[in-house]
Amino acid sequence: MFGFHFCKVSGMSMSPRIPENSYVFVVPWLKIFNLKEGCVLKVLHPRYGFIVKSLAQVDRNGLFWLKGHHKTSVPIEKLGPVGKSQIQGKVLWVFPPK
Amino acid sequence: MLYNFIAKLDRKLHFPVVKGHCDIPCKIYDPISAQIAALTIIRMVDLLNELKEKPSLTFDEQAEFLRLVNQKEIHGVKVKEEISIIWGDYIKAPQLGQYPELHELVHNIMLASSQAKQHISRDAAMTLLEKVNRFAEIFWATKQVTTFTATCPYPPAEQLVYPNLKD
Repeated sequence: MFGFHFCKVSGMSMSPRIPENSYVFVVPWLKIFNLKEGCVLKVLHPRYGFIVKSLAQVDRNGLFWLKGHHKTSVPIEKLGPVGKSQIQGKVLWVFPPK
Repeated sequence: MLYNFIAKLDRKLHFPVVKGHCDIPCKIYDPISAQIAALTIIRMVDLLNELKEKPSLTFDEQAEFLRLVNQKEIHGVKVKEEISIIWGDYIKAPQLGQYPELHELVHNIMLASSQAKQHISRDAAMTLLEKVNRFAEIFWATKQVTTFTATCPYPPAEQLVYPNLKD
């Protein structure tokens, strides 16, 4: 009803903040609030599909620039900006594997 | 405990997967892509020089000329990309300590690639291949893999550094 759900994270581009195989708890409607830099988002990216990334910056056009945390992550300029409609939700909790 | 509980739920409910997308599969580095791109530039130069011998070009040959120049450009950029990824992501202080020439070599590869892109010159393309081969030699040495040089079994049949993976 509220749309919140768990997702499993594959890949290590968000480690150490979100290690591979972590579960994240995503709340879609939280995106209606002001998203701050550093918050973790689930995004439907036109090239990479469903990804989880940190918000790096909101530009003056209101577009959202994303980044990973690991050195192997796709760089910010390669990810490009996304619109708010592509943001699927905000990650509220991270459950890393033991 | 909470993780285990969610993992159990996942096995039943199959939660969607989100990717933390990486640029390249982690730790997979191999200079062979750069070497093949350098060879491709030499091959394109050879084919362009064949066209140069003709007194005039037909319509089809003009299209071929454009295609060859375009491929030479693309592979020039590819050499730069492949080398700079290995240089930026794999080469670190221990490798630089072993091979202090690496920074200068990589910079020279960038310059040589630009030269090969700017001119239809076999010499420029060969210079690029030599430098990329040297880079490959160093790369494999840092992984304690010996190398050997052999003529590649396809045009332009030039010398390439290969890893000796059977050792």
